[in-house]
Amino acid sequence: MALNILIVDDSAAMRSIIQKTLHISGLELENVYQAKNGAEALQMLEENWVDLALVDINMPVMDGETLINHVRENPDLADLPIVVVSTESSEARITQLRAKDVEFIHKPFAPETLRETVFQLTGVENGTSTLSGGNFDF
Amino acid sequence: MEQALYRAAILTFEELGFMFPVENNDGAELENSASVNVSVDFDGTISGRLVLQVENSVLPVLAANMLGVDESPEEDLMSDVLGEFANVICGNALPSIAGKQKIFRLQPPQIVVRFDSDENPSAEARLQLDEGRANVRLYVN
Repeated sequence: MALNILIVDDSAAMRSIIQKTLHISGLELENVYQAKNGAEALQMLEENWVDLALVDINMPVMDGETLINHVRENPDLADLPIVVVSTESSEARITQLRAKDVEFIHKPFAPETLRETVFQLTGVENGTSTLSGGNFDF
Repeated sequence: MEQALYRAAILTFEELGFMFPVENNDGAELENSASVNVSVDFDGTISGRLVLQVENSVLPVLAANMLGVDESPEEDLMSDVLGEFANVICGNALPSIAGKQKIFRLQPPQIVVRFDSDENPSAEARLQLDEGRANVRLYVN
């Protein structure tokens, strides 16, 4: 199963880095969408099937936390796996965010950390679904 | 405070820029005409501004390394890289300085054509890289 992933970050450089990391991670990707704020991301989520979203927190127009709240309140999107990729280092803040059922990756991050987190949340590892018990090759 | 700033700056250069700075204690200021500045304002438990200044010779290498490309990126993208760098340094330094349970809000980074301040920074990290120098200044209100 090829994955559709959405990257939400106001920094074009960071979106580029994350996309490059995804491409070299060994994941089979169908589409990698990019949005530069939460509002753009919501529109993309309404128009496209997305398997996982990688979301920055500090963004103009609509920040990442507001985006996560909208997603969790929408029955069609509520189960979307979300990884927050942020400079946020405050333990209190990270605890608040994790309570919204998201994973957290701290910037700067090692490529391996991003890869392992995506594998974990999508149930896909090296092209094989770990959730399927390994019976299917993708 | 200064050690926290040095740690955050060196970590960011190493992990995001694949560059390996050392502390630079020669005391010389960077020339505004030969460097680029970016600032990040923050508020929360403490408020203020972080300013990252890098020599022009550093920025193309920093941007190319961060983006994983061979050639220097376009100017807009280099500015974006510098802003993200300042953002990451600030986000890492503040909890080390004020406490990991404290919450801060960072404003979007702003490129500053010329940075002049009569005010002494609360902390400063001066770094030497193979390609040139970089300074990080933290101003706490």
